[in-house]
Amino acid sequence: MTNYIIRRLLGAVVVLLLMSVVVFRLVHWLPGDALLVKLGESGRIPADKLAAARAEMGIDRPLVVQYLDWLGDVVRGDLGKSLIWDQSVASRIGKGLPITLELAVLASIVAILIAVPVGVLSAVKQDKIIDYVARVLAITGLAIPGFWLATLALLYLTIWFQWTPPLRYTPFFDDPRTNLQTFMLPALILGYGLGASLTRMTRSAVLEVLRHDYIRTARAKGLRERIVIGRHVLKNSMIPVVTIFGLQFTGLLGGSVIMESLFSLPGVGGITLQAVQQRDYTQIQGNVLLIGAAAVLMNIVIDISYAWLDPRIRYR
Amino acid sequence: MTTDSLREGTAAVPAGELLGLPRSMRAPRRLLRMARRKPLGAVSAVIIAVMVLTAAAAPLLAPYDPTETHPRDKLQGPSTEYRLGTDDVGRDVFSRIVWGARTSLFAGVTATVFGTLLGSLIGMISGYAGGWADMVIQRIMDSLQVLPLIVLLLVVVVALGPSLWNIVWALSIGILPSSGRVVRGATLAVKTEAYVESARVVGAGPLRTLIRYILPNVSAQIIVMASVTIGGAILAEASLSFLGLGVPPPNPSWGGMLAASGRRYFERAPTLAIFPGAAITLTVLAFNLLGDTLRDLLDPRLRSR
Repeated sequence: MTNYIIRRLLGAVVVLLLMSVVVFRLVHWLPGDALLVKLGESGRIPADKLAAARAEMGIDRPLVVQYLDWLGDVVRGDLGKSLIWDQSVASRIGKGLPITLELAVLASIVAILIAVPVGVLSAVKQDKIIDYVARVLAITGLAIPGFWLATLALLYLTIWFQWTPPLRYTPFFDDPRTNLQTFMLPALILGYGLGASLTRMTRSAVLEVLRHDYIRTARAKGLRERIVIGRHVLKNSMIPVVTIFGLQFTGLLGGSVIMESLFSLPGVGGITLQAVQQRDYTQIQGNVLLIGAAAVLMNIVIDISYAWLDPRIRYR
Repeated sequence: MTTDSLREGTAAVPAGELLGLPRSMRAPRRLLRMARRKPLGAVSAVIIAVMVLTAAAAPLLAPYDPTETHPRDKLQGPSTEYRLGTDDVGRDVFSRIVWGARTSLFAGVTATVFGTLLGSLIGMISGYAGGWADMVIQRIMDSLQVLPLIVLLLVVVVALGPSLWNIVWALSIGILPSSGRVVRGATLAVKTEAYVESARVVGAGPLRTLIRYILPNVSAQIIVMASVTIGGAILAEASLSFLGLGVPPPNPSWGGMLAASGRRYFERAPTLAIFPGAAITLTVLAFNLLGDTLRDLLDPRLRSR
């Protein structure tokens, strides 16, 4: 097991290195650079001054040198300084991360609370009315754009109840009530979308398990249905569900650019969007590296969780 | 395995032959029987057909030019003159939705076709070659997959400028890794089958083996994957347009119609917010249902459910 984890972590380093090269190449392909964004379009600046400023920012050197320099800092645990803002890349991520994490956790809770009970019920009552209703709700949830649902929610809450959620981020520990009011709608909407695919996965996984002989045995020996489902079906059907959930959670860690902008939440997604628009190379690199690292780690955690869910799975 | 299932899928058909019907009448009957067995699939196919026809016949169906403004008729509700009302500069919403179908369908379908084709090609080569080549290709795919999709889309669109084709390129790259992985898995499974082995024994080269023996046996998976991807691609295009990074205004796109610029008028004319979103939802829903149906029909493992 330890060997397996070490090997996976080494593999992860290779993937992240490759990814950082891809991102580095990609963002330097963007037209313009951070200096031009910083100066705005105010007046003309002599070319020699521009060159001097670029040299000071270090963005005039050959790309390979810039990359290796950046990589050297990263290996020492330094993500560098934002090219636009007078802050370190890490501190800006640190400000956005609690917001993104809170939204991710709340949306995941909503998704799981919908998906597991509805998915199991839908499978147990296969082809009954409740199954059809659940399936229609799930497949609709996959098709409705979150930004539309959010737009309609905000619109009709205003029209019908003259209520708008507080559209300003308040840290949870300052004022939990206001904080939850702000996060409620985006969490519900994101959670419904994620819960939709999770419900479908749960349903088909449970159906698969229900056909096994050991379930028939469990029923034949007189176990109550609740125990059959709870003890024999649920855990055995969770592997594909955990896989999808892990991928979804990783996606949430990158920040939902749309929900963040609609509900004025200054999370990681918004920082990334802004960094791309401002050609803030170091900030983009830092964000993407951290999101990528989270994704790779998450994949490893998912794989390890398989062994816990199904003891027949062993890693060497 | 897959060839058997495909044969099985058509085995139920020759009833028309038994009835002595002329060949030309059998196809409609076959469709009808399929529609009765998979009503949701049939309904979704009809919706998609209507959408495609709408997009194709947009100049004939739209009563107004989608970019034409009528300053005197701003923010009107649905009427006989403007079927779904007008927006904040007096453009006909119905005409914009009809033309917007072109944008959505074109982006969704083209990106899916490019992404899936390239991904399948890479996946087949990777799975068939194995060894070092497979390792290298898979690590590159991993790094593409780990890269957050939104960053990829943003960078490509910002670098190349917002245009329909650039969105298509960006989406294709986003689709590529997952389709590559699925097809690689399918190729690995097919590769060990006896008929591939015997093809090699009688001297078929790698190219011939891939095209003649492997491709037909992974094509069902490719079709299923493509059909479930289209809906997601349409949603992604709508999201980009919603963020103002899609097709440049004033060109009509469903996501763009919901974007921030029109937001403050929604309270005065809620229909502005309703119809474009409904169009996106209906289209994506139809593609997802069709994908489900195709999977049921083509994937033998799900047959019994």
